[in-house]
Amino acid sequence: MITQILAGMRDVDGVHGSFVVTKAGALAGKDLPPMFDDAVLNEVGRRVVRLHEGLCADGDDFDHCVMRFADHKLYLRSVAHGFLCVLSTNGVNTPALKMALTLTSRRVDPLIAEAAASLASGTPSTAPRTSEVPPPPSGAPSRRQATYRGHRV
Amino acid sequence: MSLPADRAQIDDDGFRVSLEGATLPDFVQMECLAQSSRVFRVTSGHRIGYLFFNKGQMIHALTGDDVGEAAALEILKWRDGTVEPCSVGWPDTPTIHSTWQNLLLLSAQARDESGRHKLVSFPKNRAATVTTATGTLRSDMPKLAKREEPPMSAPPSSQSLSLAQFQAFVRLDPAGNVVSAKGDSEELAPVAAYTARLAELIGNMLGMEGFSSLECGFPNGRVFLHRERSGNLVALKVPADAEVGALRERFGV
Repeated sequence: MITQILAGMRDVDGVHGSFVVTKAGALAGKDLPPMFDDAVLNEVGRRVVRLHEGLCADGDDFDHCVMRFADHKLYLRSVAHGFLCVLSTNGVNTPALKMALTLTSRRVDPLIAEAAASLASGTPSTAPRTSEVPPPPSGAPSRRQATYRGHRV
Repeated sequence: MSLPADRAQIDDDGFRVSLEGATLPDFVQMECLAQSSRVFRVTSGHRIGYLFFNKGQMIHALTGDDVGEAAALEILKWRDGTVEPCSVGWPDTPTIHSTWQNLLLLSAQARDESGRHKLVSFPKNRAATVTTATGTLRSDMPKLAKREEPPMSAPPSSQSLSLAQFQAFVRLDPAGNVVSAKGDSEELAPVAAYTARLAELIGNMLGMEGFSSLECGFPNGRVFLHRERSGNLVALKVPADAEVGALRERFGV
């Protein structure tokens, strides 16, 4: 479900894909090419959380954050239960992207909460995710969840 | 503009001067070239400001609303009034770190952008000769001001956003040392350095090289980071209602 919602972001020209992480930095879902494996996105999620904590050290939560790189941009939208992260080209249509971010973040936020709860309890989320979220450390990895270098084995 | 007799109370010798048609940039240039060390009260209408000169540099300025460089730039905007020496207390530490040449350039740019006045309002019958940031005398100040890169100590957006609009500004070298700072920059510097590092790491992990800028929006303001080609990191904090279109365009965010 999360992937379906995130796929809507790619309606905006220049968007490569997106992913969502919980407030703890765990990957909750993604709509990205397979080269972005879950281990990397989990690590990125933890750094997004640290970046958020650094910028919001004086107490104010940020609404959005955009990072520009040589050829790409990374947009972060803070929602109640996590962060929506969007990768795009530098030439992306910014107003259209902001609108898409607003709509998507509303729809995806409850599902991030569910994903966070399921990750915390070690039980599968009721919201099916097509992303390959690593299994919680307490539970034995199922065959369906086992991955090697981002690929299911 | 006049320089009245109080000056004689501070310097026992010298002339008593009254100049009609002079401008504050004229006056600043004159005092700095004379290696002056004294304080002047500038009055323009109901506005009062103070300029502090020490050994030929403007080291402090004060108005009702601003201190430091912002106050100096505000005073340099004033079109008419009087200048008189006074003996108010000196600051413990300098609040202006830019050279007086830089201040005059910034002031000239501000006037240029206002579009309402000449760039530097020297009297019509005088050659417009102004000392540039490099200390050389040039007579083509209007063109020069548009071509020159902003000085290292100036915020990168000084061409488009008034200095007074920044809540804080800091420039860090690649090692994290503060090169220049204005406003409430003590908290901004570590946040900027840490955030830029994380942004670079995040970008590297996602295959996005060359972090250049970041904009972060808060309910009551915005923070901009920009990695300059020199490797220096510039951080700006501006209020939520500030016009940031030019900043975004310049930083590419």
